[in-house]
Amino acid sequence: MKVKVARLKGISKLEILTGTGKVLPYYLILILWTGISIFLISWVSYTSFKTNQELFAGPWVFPTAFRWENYVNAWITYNMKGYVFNSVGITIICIGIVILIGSMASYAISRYPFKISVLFFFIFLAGLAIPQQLVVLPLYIFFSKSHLLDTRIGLILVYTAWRMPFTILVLTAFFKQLPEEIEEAAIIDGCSEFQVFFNIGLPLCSPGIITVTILNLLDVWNEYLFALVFIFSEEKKTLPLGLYSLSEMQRYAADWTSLFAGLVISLIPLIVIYAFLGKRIVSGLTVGAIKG
Amino acid sequence: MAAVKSKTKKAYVIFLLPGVLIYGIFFIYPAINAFRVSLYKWAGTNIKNMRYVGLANFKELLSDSIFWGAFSNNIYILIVGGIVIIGLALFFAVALTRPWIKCKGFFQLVIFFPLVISGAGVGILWKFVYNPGFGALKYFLDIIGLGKLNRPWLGNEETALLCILMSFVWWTVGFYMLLYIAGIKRIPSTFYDAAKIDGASEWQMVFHITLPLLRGVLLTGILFWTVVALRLFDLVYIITQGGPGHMTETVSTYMYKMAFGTITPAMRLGYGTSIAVFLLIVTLGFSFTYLRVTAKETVRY
Repeated sequence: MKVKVARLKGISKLEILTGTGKVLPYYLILILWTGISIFLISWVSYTSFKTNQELFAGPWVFPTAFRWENYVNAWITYNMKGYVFNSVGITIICIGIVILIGSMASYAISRYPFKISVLFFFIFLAGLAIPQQLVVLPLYIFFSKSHLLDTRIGLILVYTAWRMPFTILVLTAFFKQLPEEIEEAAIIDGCSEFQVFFNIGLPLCSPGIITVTILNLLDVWNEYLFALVFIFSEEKKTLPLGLYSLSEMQRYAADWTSLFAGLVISLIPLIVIYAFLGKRIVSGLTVGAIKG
Repeated sequence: MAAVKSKTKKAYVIFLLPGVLIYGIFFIYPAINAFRVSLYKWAGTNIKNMRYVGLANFKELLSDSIFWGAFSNNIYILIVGGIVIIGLALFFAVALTRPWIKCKGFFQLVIFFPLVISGAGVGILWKFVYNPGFGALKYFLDIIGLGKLNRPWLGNEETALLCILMSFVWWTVGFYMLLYIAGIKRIPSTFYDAAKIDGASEWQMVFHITLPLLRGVLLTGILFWTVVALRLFDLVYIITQGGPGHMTETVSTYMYKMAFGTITPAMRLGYGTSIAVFLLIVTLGFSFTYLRVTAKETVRY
């Protein structure tokens, strides 16, 4: 602590103001970079209320009136409603399955003394090195033979499989940190193995579950390549796909400000999640990155 | 010991089976099958109409100039983008671990934020920025008096790839920043205190303490970047679809186009998969090199 105070006192306010200190270059670039990001998000936000004529008047001209029609257009005419609905449904179902079967598998790998667990663990880990690109075309062939192409259930199954390696890596590490004594005591008291898992193992692991849920949620919500290859009907498209087809439509319709509104609609859930869970996402990713 | 005995094989199988099945069927099986698929050729759109051609797809790949152009775009993104993004991330990480910088949490959250947006969202946002008609870049250039530089940024071979690259950096720099912040925080403060007593300047400390001790984490970041730069798909597909011509094509967009694009003959699933196999081999090659480099050294504080 003493060092910290000394360092703080080492720079006078005058130095900061005159720029002779070492502080200024740091602040300059930090403020420039964050300024650009904040400007971009706010530019998109207020432009989404403009008319298309006002759009071409430039970013320094604010909208004269809030044109909520842009949002109505994006939501209904350009079907953002359907895309959001699909994305919400697919993400929730997928994450539910991933967390359930992922935590069960991690529990088995970390708690049961069978040697074959090591092999399973490495097969799961190997998935981290496999690019989506490698599996996407063979899966397309497999799906077209098994009638899973252009179905939401097919996409959910692929997403579930795709998220397993990361989920199992983090949760196995988590279970291994937890002491086994409570679970052993519960078994001696006559609980079944499943009761032990659901009532003791899973709740104890909840910090790990939360981290994995958030990061998987972002990855599934934002996924593009699988959705692009496996979904083609308009009414089954997820939000990233829908956003792109909305943007392609404007090449002809030139209703740009509705596209701005569409983009804002797609950003809102993320901004809300980020406002509440930002710190958690940041710390979760740090843990994942260091361990990975 | 009683507890260990009560752990039955039956429960083990029930716990493990759903995960292993779904993962095996929908990920591992197609990944292995990819090597077989890459040896076949498809004629027309009928999926059953396949013919074994041996290594013909890979031979064609070797002499496919569009493919090599796409690969060199990936390498360009990897190297130029890598220098920019790792440099920036290091700078942010050093800045945000200095004790006298204020509002650290705020800066960190804002720099990291783009990472939670989808590639589609980031792509469309930056398409707005680069739009020569109403884009933010055009108006920014007007303000600083360089308005005549304005051009169709994405329709132009000198600027298109660079524009994609800059939006890619904006999107993901926060991840590398976090990685390096975590790395820097693990360096014991005693090193800095000792250096301070010896009269080391701020920059001397960064270059002689922080960076050398960060080497392992630094390489991890570079490996991450290498893999994502080689795999890059969504951002490019959204912003330019690989165009104009094939100027901004990447290995992944080219693979996608081979299978589902407008290039004729369409539905070249075998050839597309051989491109994916190539991508796997290259990324694994980089990863093993990285592991060999880092395995020899473990930093002890």
